[in-house]
Amino acid sequence: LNEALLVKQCQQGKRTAQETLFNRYSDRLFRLGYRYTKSHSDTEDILMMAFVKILSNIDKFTYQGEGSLEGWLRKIVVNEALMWLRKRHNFNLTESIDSAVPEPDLSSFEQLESEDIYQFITQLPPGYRTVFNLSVIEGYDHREIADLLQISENTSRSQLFKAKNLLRKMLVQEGFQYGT
Amino acid sequence: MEHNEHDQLRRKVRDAEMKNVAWNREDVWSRINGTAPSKKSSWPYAAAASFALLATVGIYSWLSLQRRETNLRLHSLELEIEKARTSSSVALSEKTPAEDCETTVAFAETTERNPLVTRKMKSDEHAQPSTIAETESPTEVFTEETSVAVVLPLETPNQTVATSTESQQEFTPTVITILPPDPAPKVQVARERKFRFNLFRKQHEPLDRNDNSDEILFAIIH
Repeated sequence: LNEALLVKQCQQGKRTAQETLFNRYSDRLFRLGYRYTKSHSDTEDILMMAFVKILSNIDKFTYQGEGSLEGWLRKIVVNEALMWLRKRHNFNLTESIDSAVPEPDLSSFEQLESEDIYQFITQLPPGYRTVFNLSVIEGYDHREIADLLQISENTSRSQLFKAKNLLRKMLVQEGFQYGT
Repeated sequence: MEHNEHDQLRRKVRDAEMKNVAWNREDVWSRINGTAPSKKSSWPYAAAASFALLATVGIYSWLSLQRRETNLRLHSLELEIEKARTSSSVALSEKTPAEDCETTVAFAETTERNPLVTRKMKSDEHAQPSTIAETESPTEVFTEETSVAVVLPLETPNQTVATSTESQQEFTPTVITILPPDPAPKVQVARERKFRFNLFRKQHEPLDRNDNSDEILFAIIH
């Protein structure tokens, strides 16, 4: 089944198509959720709630080509993960950073394997990790992150700065030479 | 520069997420199956709801009709009872003392409109011609009209008139008097007239009779 046909059959309420959708995307969506929660059981709960929403609202989804379905699924899982985080973590931080300070360079991460990068990210503290995920991996800007986490843009920028600094320290601790 | 770093990181993280991972996939899917709505055709539910609605309306209408018919029947029975009570009390108070009679009103359960009023005389002294109706049977059937025929003997035409009492104020009895037969019936008058005509014709024998002579003679007689 290609994506378009899968979406159509899911919109028709076919249980086999829904199961195919789950089996095809659940692993990558599980790892997406785990990157935010760092907990298997919590990620499973998030994934369950996310798929209930996906299957309930898939008739509102309009297929717009290859990749649009996965993008829509990822957005729903990220929103569920943020809802879970807002209940357990206080993002109401008032940290700020001078915007003139340049952000740390992460070019050394290109030398790392994808799985190592994933593991480094999951070792960040929740606040840093969430802003780093939203900004670097998901591609949101600071204004959008501020809206999602109900924090100021400066706080978002500060959290990202600190997350990158911490990742660089981790790389150094792991024996990677950072910078020249 | 920064965007390139982010793109590379994003690509590598996405690659890492493509790898399989051990987690309770079946358990999560069974939980999703228990809560996720599966789209089913809604017309059976709509048909069932429509049928239930129609059945409810039908039963309600039938019950209302039954209740209305019952109320009408009860109302008509009450009216009949009231009329029977009134008529029986009036008739009994006219001629027969109330303590001497037993009046029972029987109503059939069918649609018979006229109540059957049965009057039983306690003693034979009241079964005289001067009582209300001289009937062989002690049973009378009163019609629905509120009139009672009182038959009086010819010797005493002015003897009995319905006397109004407090219980009879709403009742107007109709007194019917049977007159004695006419002493001079029309047949006898015609015979006398014919006899006189014959005498007259014998006395005027020479007269010529034409077709309308009878009419002329009849006119002369009168």
